[in-house]
Amino acid sequence: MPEKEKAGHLVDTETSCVRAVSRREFLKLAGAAGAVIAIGGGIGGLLAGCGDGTTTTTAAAGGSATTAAGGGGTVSTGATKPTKQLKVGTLVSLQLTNGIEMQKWMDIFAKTKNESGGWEIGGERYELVPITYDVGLSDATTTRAAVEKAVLQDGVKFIVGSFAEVSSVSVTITEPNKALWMGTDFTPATLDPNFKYVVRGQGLSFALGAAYNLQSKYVERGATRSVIVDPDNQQTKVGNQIWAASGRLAGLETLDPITYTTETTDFGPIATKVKSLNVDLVELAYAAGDQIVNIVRALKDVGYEGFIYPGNVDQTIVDNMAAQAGKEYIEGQLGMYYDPREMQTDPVMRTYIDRYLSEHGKFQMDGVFWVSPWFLFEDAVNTAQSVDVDAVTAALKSMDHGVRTLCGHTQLFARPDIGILDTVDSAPGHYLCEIKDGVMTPFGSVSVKDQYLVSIKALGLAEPFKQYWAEHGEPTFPDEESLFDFSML
Amino acid sequence: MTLDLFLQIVVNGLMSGGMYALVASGFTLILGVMKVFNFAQGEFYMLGAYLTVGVVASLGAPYPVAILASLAAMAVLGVLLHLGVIQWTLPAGFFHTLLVTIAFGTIVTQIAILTFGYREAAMPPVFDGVSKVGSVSFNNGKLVVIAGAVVVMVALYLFMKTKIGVSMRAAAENREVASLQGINPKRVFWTTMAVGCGLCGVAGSLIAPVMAASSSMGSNIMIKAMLVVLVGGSGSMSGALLAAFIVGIVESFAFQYIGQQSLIAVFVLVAILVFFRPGGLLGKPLPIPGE
Repeated sequence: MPEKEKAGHLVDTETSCVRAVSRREFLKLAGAAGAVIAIGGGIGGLLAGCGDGTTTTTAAAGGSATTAAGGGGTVSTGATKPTKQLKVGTLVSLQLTNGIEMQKWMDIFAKTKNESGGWEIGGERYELVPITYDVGLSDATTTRAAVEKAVLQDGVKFIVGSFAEVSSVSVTITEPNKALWMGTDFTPATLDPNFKYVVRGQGLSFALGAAYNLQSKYVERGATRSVIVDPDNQQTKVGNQIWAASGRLAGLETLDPITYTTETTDFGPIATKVKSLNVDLVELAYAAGDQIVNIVRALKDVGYEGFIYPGNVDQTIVDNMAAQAGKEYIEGQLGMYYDPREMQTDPVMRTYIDRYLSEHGKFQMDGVFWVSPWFLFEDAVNTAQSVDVDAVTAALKSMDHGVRTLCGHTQLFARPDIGILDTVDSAPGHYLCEIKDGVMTPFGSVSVKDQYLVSIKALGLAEPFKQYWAEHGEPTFPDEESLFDFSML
Repeated sequence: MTLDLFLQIVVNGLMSGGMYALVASGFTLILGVMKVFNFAQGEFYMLGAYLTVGVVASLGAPYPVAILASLAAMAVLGVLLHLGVIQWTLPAGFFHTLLVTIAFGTIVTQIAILTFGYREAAMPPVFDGVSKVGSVSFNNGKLVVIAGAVVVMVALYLFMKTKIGVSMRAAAENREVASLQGINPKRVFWTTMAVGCGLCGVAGSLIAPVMAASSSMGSNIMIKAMLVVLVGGSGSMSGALLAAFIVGIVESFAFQYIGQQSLIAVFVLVAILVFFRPGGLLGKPLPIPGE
């Protein structure tokens, strides 16, 4: 029979429920555990402080942001040493390879500057300190915590590049604190004429040239009816509409998108629904990573025999698709291509690429495209010759030329359709590829000009832009091969 | 709706239902016998899937070996969870045990994330290809999952007829009386944990060739498993099996027509069924803390 202990807990000696711990014993154990944790944390903090500046990362726990101190590289010990620091923050999800890769690229950019004595700006030499903040996966709470830490605690004045953040939350912190936000956003949240310090380093408004290019090729091959299959989040809600507009311009009948939660692993029901819709093109416009493989496999399993736009793939994903669904099933599919090694000719970009390979070995395509805002920022700082937020922002908002990026060029443009006459929204160049015998084979690129003009036409914005050009002149573009020009509008 | 589409949807639902049945059976077994709400049940499913991928893809072992390894490993881990954690909190009450299982599940998930990252771990298909019935294609792997789930449930049913199985059922009915009959509760408890968690390991093994293992798959399936137990009735294996297939098929049909809001349809179904059968289809109402 159970016995009562002095501590007040029942003790059942018959079962495996051995005597419960008394209150005094529990407090002793808790105190000991707390002391161990405190000592361990103190030692860990000491070790981190004495570290050599190599990048450390921790994933964000729910509701709390954690930061990764940028690698920065060793500052040159030559005659000229930086006298000041320039902190640049990047908001990414370290749950995604994109985020990890963006961190690596920012690290490389910083090292390149620092090892040559720092970044000379306005007569001063600055040590570039890139700091990566984990914003979770489209998580508003984690985004808020991360940006608050960056701006309010760490004193970061420039957010350059972002992925998977909730941008509408970020700008509510950066704007009132006079910090420049140059992230990625596909929604109207960051296109407010009242914003002073918001520049869309990576947006979607002027990114339909690539989509149109690929969709047109599928139409040439016989596609007539398409459906977009994408994860459901803030970005894709807008992105899917824009992607569909591009499809209609290309001549496709585009159905309502099929969305899924990011935790989905069983795509059988989705594939079944796709097949029931009798489409001949499935567009995984914003799907990423292994979900692409799972969706393609599921489509094959249900007997879908139409075209597939597999989206943002890299060779690893293509290899996995080939392993799961067979090379024949994915032969000829077209996609975005983010590996600049075969296409990039600019010597500065090649230097970055070579450094990436020497430091990290195997080249990863994730992140390559999403660090394009860095080059806009770099150009603006060099133009302004200042690290003053107002000066840099002014340089960005009056930028009349494109800049080189790892994936071609990018350029900022005004949005006269919503009353913004400053150049705040980017049109990024893109490489394109076709899957041939299981290998992603680049076949061309989409120019900044094509991105800009096709997007204006697809979104039905020709009139306000024509008025703007009549007053301010037509923009000039980087010297790239283009398919379109102003006469198509 | 064509017959082809109907059959496709039913197969999707049966596959999902098979997985729910295995996870829910383990859950309801532990709940019924030990009155423990094991929130970490889904994590055994996730670990079982990862272990299977590792054994097959990395070690090159045959798939049946991976299933056995997963079953054994999750059974052992379940016993360790009981011996190391649950048995100490049982006297403190239902909610204490609930909280520690939540904590254990969270720790396991985070360890999985740190170990495997957020990318999924896939293995080459074991039962490749499709089977065609008319113009309807069925993934062979999915058919094997459905068959595997039924075989495991039958095996579980037969196990519950054995001496230890009878002891477990007796303990579930009335622990004190079972103890008076000479049934060793200590042995019953850790056997229950071994069987309950082992079932999840097998479920993970069955699904691994069809869907990649991911660190979030455990928590995803737990919601459905708890719904299945609610509908099927606590402590009822046959109830869990029936409810699992009902939930899986309803979810599959709902997705066809309302997309990712299909969970709404499942909850509505559960609410209706529980309204008319509060004790579940074939079992008993969920145990109330303190009773």
